[in-house]
Amino acid sequence: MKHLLKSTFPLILAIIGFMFFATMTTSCKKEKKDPKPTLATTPLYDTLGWFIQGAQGKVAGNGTKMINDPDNPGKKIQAGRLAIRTVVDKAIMIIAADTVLNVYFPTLLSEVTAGNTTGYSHLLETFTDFVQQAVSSQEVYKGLPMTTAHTHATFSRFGDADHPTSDEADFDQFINDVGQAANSLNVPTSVTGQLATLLISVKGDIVH
Amino acid sequence: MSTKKKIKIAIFSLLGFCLLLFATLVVHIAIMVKGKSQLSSTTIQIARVDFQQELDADQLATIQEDIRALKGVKSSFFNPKSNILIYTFDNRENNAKKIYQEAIQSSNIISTRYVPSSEELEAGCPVINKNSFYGRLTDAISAIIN
Repeated sequence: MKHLLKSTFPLILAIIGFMFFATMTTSCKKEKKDPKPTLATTPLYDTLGWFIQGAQGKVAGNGTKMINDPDNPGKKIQAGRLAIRTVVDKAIMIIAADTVLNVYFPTLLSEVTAGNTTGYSHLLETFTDFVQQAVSSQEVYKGLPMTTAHTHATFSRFGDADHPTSDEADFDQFINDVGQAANSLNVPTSVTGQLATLLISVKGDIVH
Repeated sequence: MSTKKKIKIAIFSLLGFCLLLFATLVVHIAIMVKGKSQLSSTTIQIARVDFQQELDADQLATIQEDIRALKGVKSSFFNPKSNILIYTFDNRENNAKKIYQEAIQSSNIISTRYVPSSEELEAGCPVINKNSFYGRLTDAISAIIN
């Protein structure tokens, strides 16, 4: 046994070294953390954060302000993100009831065993990440690039050979549903307009 | 070296290699999930009911009231254009079928509970299968280090 360990030890050590090196350098390209990171923000992100907190006092700085997460007891969330997630949550409900768009999101309705993570919660999170990145400039979205995700040739789950990309009418309907969600939550029209303008800016990546 | 010994070395090497692969996977997941907060509303599920007849304001109000009174139900939304009702609920407290039976089927309004087929689930917006081995392992590691 002693001899066995002695003969395989250098090999094991080499494998450990290689795997450690591979893990640290290739698969997990995580950016080095700034000791005191300053979160990026914009006037629109601050306005959304200010709005979700009751629209009192000055607007500046409210986007990145950490507040209690009502859906995640004991956790904090940026006020701007909470506002966006609230709109996205409502938008997902509207999209799920919209026969033009719900064909693109069947995973929303997938039923999982009690206690397990649902497709709805995952979409809520990634959709929120995407909008948060567009609004605040913080790099939080980790999903596929929009063009790749909305082209059948590069992402087979999207559409089919006859409908390889989404059309303009679908995209307009999507903007409409998000707008309807924001309006139902009494988001001021000017803020909804800015949000819509931002989303329309990625239209070229989705409809092409 | 005897054949028995060679087999022993091969088995130990293989086991050791598998162990190292697993350890690498764990370290990889740990690095990726470190600092990432847990998803909110992880167990909130969404369900859909299609009505085959027009609902008047009273019927709709009754259904919405009944559904929201059920255990675990978070919210509901009705689209009059498509005659579709959407509701969200916590899947630890209730399930889509039971909610449908208790709040809608009992009202005798013609409707069907919509459940996507496996083909439909293969298409559309991707969602990681959190119930897979990888998904469960990621959740477990995330819960330990975050």
